[in-house]
Amino acid sequence: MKRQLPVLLMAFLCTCVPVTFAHHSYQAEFDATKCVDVKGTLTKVDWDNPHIYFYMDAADTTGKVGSWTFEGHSLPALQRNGTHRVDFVQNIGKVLTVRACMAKNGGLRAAAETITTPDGRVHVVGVDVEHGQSAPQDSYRAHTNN
Amino acid sequence: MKLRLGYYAAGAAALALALLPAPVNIHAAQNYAGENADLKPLPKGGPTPRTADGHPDLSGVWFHGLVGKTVEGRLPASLREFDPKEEDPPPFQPWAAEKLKMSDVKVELGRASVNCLPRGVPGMFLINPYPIQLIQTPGQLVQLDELNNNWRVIPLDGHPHTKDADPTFNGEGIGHWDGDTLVIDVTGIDERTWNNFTGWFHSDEEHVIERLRRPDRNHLDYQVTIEDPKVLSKPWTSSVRHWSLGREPLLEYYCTHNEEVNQYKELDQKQTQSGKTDSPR
Repeated sequence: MKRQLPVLLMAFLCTCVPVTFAHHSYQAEFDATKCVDVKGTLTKVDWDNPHIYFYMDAADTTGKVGSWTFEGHSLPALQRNGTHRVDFVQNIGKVLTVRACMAKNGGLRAAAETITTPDGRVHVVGVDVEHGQSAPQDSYRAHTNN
Repeated sequence: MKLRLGYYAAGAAALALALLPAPVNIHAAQNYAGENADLKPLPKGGPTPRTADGHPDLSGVWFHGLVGKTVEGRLPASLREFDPKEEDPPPFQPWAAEKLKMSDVKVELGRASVNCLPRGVPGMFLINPYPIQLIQTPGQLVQLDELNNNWRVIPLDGHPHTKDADPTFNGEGIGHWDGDTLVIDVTGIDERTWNNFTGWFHSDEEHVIERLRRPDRNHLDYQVTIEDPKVLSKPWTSSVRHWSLGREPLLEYYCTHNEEVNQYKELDQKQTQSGKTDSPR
């Protein structure tokens, strides 16, 4: 099978606008101020709850290829937003761009916000913290404060 | 006569359609998923539906908040479930308040969602961002939760609780009608459940009184009182939580693959080793 070479990782760290939600699960695991664009080749998707996981090979600025793990929404959240397993499966082996915020644990692990598929569509596949979104449980926590 | 009945039937069908929220095609193509979400609060939609015995019929697929659908991360506070200003904080006994002072990571490690555990009662209403379906029959109310494909069946005859019932995540819930309010009395709740997202644990003596109302066709109100003499200094009553009628079916949700537990364990270990924890509560 012809496999596309991993493409340059554009992992430029941005100075994201801090999101003003208080204690919540997202913030415990991921850093909403360290969000990156990662361009690479989609290798696999785990279509599971409570989060999907998908994996991508991408090269860093030195050309070294690494395997990234991205966490996304739950399946019902994806499905109700119009994103389905086929949107991932039909793009395995193809080059995608993922916008994601890095895990506090380090490594090539991040919470995906959006993916841009080769047809130019942008799918919201996770908590889009840079546009003011919060995870469902985070919404609850933010406004229950207990 | 047949013709006239046909007109009536057609008219009733048209009225029923007009009262329904706009249908949603979850497979509809969108350039930016969620961008076209209609976030208007649902109208009343008509009077409260009633069963043959005259009680309100609570049947329907219900979404938390006022818009009749889940809009991931995009539901403005004004359209969410309730106004937190209308609710007092839980009156924890001093020892319980002390126990609840823990780091964000430790809280995460105890949460039901991180451990793929059921939310239980009243968590299936208080901390459930996913839709539920209620199916009411003359003698029972069936509650289906999308989250974890959870369910409970509540008899509506108000019979006494089982003595020394074995604990279950959803407890022993027994319903009776108080006017147009369905009161569900729940005991025997598994102590692994929390009443909120941030560690509100409870004892084996927790007693939960749930109140469900359907004030009009498109809305369901939920209010709960929690008594727990071992953990709370006095009973706590929530504000009224609002749910609204949806037209989407429940979807399958099995919790099968969660890497969060290991992530949080690693973070907790790092914080313990470094002596730097995130903000304790």
